[in-house]
Amino acid sequence: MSSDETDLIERLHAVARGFEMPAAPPGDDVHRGLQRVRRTRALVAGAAAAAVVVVLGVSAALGGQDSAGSRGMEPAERPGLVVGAVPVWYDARGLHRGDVVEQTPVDIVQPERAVTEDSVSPMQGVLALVRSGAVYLDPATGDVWFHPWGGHPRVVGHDSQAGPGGDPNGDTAVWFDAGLGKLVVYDTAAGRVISRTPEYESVGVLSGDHWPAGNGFLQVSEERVVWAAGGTIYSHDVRTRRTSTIQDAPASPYLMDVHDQVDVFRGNEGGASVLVLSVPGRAEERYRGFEPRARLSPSGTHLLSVEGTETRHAGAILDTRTGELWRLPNAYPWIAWSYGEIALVDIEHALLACDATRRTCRSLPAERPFLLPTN
Amino acid sequence: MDVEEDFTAYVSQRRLTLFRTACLLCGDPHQAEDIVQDALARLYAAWPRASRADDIDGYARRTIINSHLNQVRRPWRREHVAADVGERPTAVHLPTEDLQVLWAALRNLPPGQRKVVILRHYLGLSVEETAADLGISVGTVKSQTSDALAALRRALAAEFGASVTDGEDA
Repeated sequence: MSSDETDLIERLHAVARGFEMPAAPPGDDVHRGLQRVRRTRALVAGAAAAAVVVVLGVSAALGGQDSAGSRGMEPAERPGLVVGAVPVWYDARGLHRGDVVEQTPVDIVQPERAVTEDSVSPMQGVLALVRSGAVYLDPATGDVWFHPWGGHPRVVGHDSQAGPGGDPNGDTAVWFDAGLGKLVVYDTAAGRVISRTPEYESVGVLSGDHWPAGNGFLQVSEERVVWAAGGTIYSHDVRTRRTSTIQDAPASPYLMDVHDQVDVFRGNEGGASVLVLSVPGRAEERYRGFEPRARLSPSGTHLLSVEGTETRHAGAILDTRTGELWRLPNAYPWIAWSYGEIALVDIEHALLACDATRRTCRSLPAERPFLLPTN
Repeated sequence: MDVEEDFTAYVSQRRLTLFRTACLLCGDPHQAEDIVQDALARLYAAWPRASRADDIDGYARRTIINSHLNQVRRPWRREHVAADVGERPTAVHLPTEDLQVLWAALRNLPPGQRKVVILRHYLGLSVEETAADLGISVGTVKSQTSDALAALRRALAAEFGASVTDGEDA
């Protein structure tokens, strides 16, 4: 380190010493902590009470109001087209699913308002997948659209700030309605809202190196919704409408993604980030040389991440069943999963669809700027 | 030692550092106090697990960073927390002009650069620790640190006419 730099850093410390901390009354921090604990417990209890109301049939009447015909939304058209393991992305030509391009009724990318790790909102765009279509955010209005493949897109939600999440293997879509302060669980096949549940903390906006702008929904299924918000991870049981905290505040190891049978954590060994794979019936597996984010494929059989070593800064796919590693082309990537085991890899001048089962990649006819799914 | 005693003892030792870190992160001592209060409330709620972690300071530091992100992303929550706090003045004493210039330059850095330079050179984290805390690559930490230090040197040079040399990030 140069003497100039040492001097600069000493001045930085001098600046920090210039801040006078206000006197904190004794016990204030404990008091606030207790308030937080009580608020979380009350929230869980409130959601449980709502579940009891459902059992008693009161919400059967409310359920009629939750149909797609409410709040000015169009009546549902039952979706039917389920596409296979194809790459899905959005660009200026439209919403691509494999070789088919479908038009969207609104622009779902606003590149002039692109989010960085430091921007609040609006977002560049959010695109998520469900079995028979896509769900996406209109960044201009906060509306959530359901786009059935080969069908007519329609608005299904409002006031979403971080955009929707979806189950690429099923029909469940989710989002947070900021106006209501509630998690909305929506059945895209039935065309109706399953539940609207008040939650203490909505899903966080995510962006940063290698991953497209999106949100913190880690898992969406007909059984549960898992999301991250500011380091805390919540799990919502769709049937009981109860939400529990499965990780409170940042922790090490930190849960990065979940699937039914697989959990992925970010751990720390001697200051270096490691991926930790937890699979029932197997000893915990640790993988070094990876950057601190990773996502499981829709089946949970593959893990997509980025290797960061002296010689490689590039995508890689780990088979969670065998531990085998497939290294993707050695170039700085932006990465996301599509349907099946198809990973989308944006490197330099190309968008690739990389099939994790066949270990092959092909170039896609994508035009920049494009939007990748946030699943 | 019970939870409250244990937590209170930790906070009494670390609160000033956490507060100063938050000040450097957000550029506003009033907002920094909100951030610290929010972070410590979270830390208390997680204390049974956090206190068993190998690196409680790292746990607390990441809580500060995430509370800062929450404040940025939800300004209405900041207003709610500030209403709870009431009027408590905070002050910045920068007795020399060079420190005032540096403080202004730090606040003008892009937030990503500001975060890495604070973690690397105020808190003394390694490149790898900084990358892990911020969820970014090692390469990004190095490049943002280099850019940030260069910007801060230029700011001081512009005011005081000192010669600027490019140092190497350690």
